[in-house]
Amino acid sequence: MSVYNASSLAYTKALKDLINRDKKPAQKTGGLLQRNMPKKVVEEKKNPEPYDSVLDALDQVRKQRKALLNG
Amino acid sequence: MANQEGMFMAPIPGMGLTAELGSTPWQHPPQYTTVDETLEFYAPRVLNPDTKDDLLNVMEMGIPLTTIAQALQIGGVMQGKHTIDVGVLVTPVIIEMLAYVGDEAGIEYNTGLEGGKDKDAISESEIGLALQKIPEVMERTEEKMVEEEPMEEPMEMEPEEAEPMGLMARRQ
Repeated sequence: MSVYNASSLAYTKALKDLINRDKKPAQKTGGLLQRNMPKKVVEEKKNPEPYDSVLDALDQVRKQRKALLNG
Repeated sequence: MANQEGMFMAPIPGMGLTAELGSTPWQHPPQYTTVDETLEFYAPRVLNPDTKDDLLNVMEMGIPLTTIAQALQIGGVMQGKHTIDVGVLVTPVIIEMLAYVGDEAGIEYNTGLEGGKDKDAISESEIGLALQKIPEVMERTEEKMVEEEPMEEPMEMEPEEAEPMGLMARRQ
């Protein structure tokens, strides 16, 4: 595998993860056996993983780029 | 033959251990250890207006953004700025920043995810580079023309008749 392929793969993976991150999980339809579980309080991570920082930065730059292209 | 020469030019096994440990920047602890710090290092360099023209020329020549980003981050590793794993992590952001620079300038670029560029197409930067080289080539050609003196025409010699050398040849 070429060295230069690694950056292509990293870029593709980051874009895919960024798109999937924003997607909400599909809600299950209510059935007879459905249980209403109390929602867990999602604690904000104090120390995000390095990859999360990368996705945040990528998202910021992408938004700037979109704004530029849309005028 | 060329491949054989290349084979002998390769480092011998264990050659990497002959240099003193710590003699190269990447054998020291990196200057930037986190992704955020590394991005703060790259962002002003990519968006710097002084270097932007060179960057745009390279992008216009059809060099993929992935290749440019890879070269940038490998350079950072070699300078001891960050480790290679942090470099791989920040590569997508560098590619996106390069794309932003390209869009801002309004040029067509290759991200590296598309197929290869049209080989027959010649970009404007390639034409510009060729035009820059024309005066140099013209000077060299003129110098060569001056150095080369006109050749003297050789004198026409009448072919001498070869004397018969055999046993049966008549002696005059």
